[in-house]
Amino acid sequence: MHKVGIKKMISKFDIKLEKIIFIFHEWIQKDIIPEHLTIDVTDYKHIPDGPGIMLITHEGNISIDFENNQVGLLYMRKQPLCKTQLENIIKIKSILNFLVNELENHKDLKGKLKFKENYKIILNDRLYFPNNDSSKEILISIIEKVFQGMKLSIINSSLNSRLTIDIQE
Amino acid sequence: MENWKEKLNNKISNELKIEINEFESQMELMRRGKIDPRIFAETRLRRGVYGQRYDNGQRDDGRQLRRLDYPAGDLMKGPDTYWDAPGMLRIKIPFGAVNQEQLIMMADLAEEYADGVLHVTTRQDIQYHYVHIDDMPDIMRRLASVGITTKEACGNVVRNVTACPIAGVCKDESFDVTPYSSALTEFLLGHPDCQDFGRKFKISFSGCYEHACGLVNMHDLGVLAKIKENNGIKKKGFKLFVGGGLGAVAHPAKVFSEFIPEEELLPIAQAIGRVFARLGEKKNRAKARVKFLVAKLGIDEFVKIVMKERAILPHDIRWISYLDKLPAYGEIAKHNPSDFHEKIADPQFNNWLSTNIYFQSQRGYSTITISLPLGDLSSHQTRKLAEIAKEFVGNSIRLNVEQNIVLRWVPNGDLYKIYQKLEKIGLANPGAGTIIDVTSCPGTDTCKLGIASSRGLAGELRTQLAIKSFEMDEAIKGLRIKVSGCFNSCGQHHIADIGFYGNSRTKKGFKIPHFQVVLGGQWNENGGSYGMAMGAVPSQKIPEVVTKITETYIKERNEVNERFQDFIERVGKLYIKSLIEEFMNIPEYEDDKSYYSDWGDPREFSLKDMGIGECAGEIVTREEFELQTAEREVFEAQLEYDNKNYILANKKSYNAMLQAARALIRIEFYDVPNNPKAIVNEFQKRFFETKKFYDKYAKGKFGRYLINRFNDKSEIVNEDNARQYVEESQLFIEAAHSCYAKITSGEV
Repeated sequence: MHKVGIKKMISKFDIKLEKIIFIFHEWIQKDIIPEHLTIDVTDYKHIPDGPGIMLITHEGNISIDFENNQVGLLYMRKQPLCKTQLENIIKIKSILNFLVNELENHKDLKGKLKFKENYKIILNDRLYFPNNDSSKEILISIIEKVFQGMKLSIINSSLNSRLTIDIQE
Repeated sequence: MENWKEKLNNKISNELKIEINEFESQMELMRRGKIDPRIFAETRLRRGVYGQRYDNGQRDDGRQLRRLDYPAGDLMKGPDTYWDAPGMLRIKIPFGAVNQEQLIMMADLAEEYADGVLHVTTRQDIQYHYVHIDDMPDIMRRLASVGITTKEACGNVVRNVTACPIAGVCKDESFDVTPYSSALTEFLLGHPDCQDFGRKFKISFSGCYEHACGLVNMHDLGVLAKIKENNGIKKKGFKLFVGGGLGAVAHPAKVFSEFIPEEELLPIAQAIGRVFARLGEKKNRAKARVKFLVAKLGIDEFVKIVMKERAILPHDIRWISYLDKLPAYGEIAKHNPSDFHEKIADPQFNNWLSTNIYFQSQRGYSTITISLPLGDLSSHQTRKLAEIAKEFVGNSIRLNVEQNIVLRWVPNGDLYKIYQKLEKIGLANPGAGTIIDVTSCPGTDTCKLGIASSRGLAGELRTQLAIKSFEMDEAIKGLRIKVSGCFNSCGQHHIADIGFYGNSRTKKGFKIPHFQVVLGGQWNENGGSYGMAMGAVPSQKIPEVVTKITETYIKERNEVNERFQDFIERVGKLYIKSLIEEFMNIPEYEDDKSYYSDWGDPREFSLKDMGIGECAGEIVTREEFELQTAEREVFEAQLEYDNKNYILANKKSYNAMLQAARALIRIEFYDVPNNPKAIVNEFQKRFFETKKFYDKYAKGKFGRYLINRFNDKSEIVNEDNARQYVEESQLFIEAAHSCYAKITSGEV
């Protein structure tokens, strides 16, 4: 149940994607992400609808993601984190916001990259959270606590897609 | 809480269920340190579970060599390979044929367990990267639920059988090779005669000689469809090639037979397997492919030995049983044929139409090629592609060896509609099979053997060439570029017009990524001839080398029709070298650092990330494997005993002893029947009575455990005797290991 991804949408992306490769390598060199074993950077910018540039860590994958032509920073958790799903989502959101902060304040990106308070939550586990009404009910009750006052909508993009919720201000 | 094992219990064949459960047990044994890491490595490789760069626990971050302290500590999954390190899973797709349901499943798994990307390989497989070994059994179960196995995707076994992606719809083929490649795949999968190879064994099928199709000329076994006419009667069969292969030392295949009738295909392949297992090199892995055996024996002697083996093979009904079903074989088009009449004023579409469409032998239908940059597509694209396939072609989907996907049986009248749908998901790239459709192995991105960034270079070339493609001479457009990250040729650089393989040079202590330029290989005629190495050029200069060579070709070819291969041969190596020499100069590190890092990787270039490759697998004999299987079975017997399933504990512990005894017998009597009576008789005769199985102190005690169990006909099993059986079995297996060690060291 730890397999959850949160993507924070980008409102301004005035940089070359290659720049992110440099920054992710720098994060590995400086070991800046707490409680993460950073491993490598992969370049998927040739996939128009894909994960762009990805930083692989043992605990989760971090990418500038382009799915559905919506650019954002995605943190996809792979390893167990907290005891409850509520705690999981709170923690994953805080990891993501740490990364957002690092990017926005990077000396080479200042003013060129901006995020907005729009998120997408993806339940990346079809066993424990299949895309059905019962999972939706559980997820919405949690998200309402974590993202208080924001608008929620379910996204069903294609056959067998994961349960995904769009969150907007 | 339910798990995938329980949830999919009714959707997986018993055979696959057992195999995946066994693999899970072996993983558990490895966690407990009860398997030799070398044997576990080969075991997981034979299930498609491969190592990946940085799994040796270190990485050069561009400033220093950093330790990667994986949380599972020193737990390993093979020699020098950490358990927790991300790995690769290779999914075997026989002859590249997939259906919609399988595509959707592979998309699901890519996003749940990997990095959300499916990678099409040069052997019509799919690979996932960055997967944790703990997730492998669930992935295998979910794949098995849609009819896919990863069995024998890696390791020293028969690898994925490839075939021409347009077989059955091709205008030039002798006949459709698909059902034959399917029959041979099934027949050889897990076949006992193919479990003791010194290296991998690759098979390919082609329907015609002229085109690239199956590339039979570069395979261990190449199978080419052929029809022989005798007194007006047409007979289907095959021309067979053996001993071809790329790798560091490329060998063109030799003709094994000009014609074998179709009913001889399976038995001859089996006999080749037997001969390769028996006579192939086992110690020196660099010389262990079948090409070296053919070269050593000479083709005539090789054929003679194989045919002698063929003559004594015990008959197998499967050799010909599939032939009865052949007349009924065939793909059914989802829609009626239609013609393409309209003039569409869409230049992008017309460009795509000119390169990505093959008009099938069946009037009114086309096969379209979806050109995938670097063979990659996202899970999201894959799911959408499955929807498009469902609408237009049903399950007529194949992967090809140029890392692309083909959709067959598209009615010609639907071409624009399908183009528009593909375009929306970024899958309508033009230029399939042209110079911009660059093939590449994973190289330094994920491969432990990678020297230079083949994907980085391939991506750069694709980008640069795509921009120029509109004004490119047709003769240049038709060339092929293939890139390998090292000399091992996984990117098939030998058979490209313009090929590259990665290497490195050093200047004043600094390393510089280079690519060796290989020119004049032949893609057509099934990979008909191999290119020549012209010299190594710094990686950063390779795009300029491509421009220089192609421009020179257009300017200096003898006549408009002179082929690129002929041009290279005519002008010669010295002249080509003089053309590229200007790109070989390397500036000082302080003057231009760009030379000292690789494409798409800002770190200073180094070779410190290279590791020990797993392509060659581990040399593990069949006997060692069987002893390991016996270990697993007795371990499972112990678990059954702990769960108070005494009857099962008894059964498994007895099977474990039989398995261990059979492994030993096989050293002397390869075809020992797999039944208890024969095994115990042979064991008694060959090992017990000869005292080979004797322990220095316990004498014949452990051997008697098996003999007594065989003779014990009582059916009462209780907690006490079940425990005794499990313990005896454990001791018997220990003794079998010891006996095996004595035999192999020449002590007995």
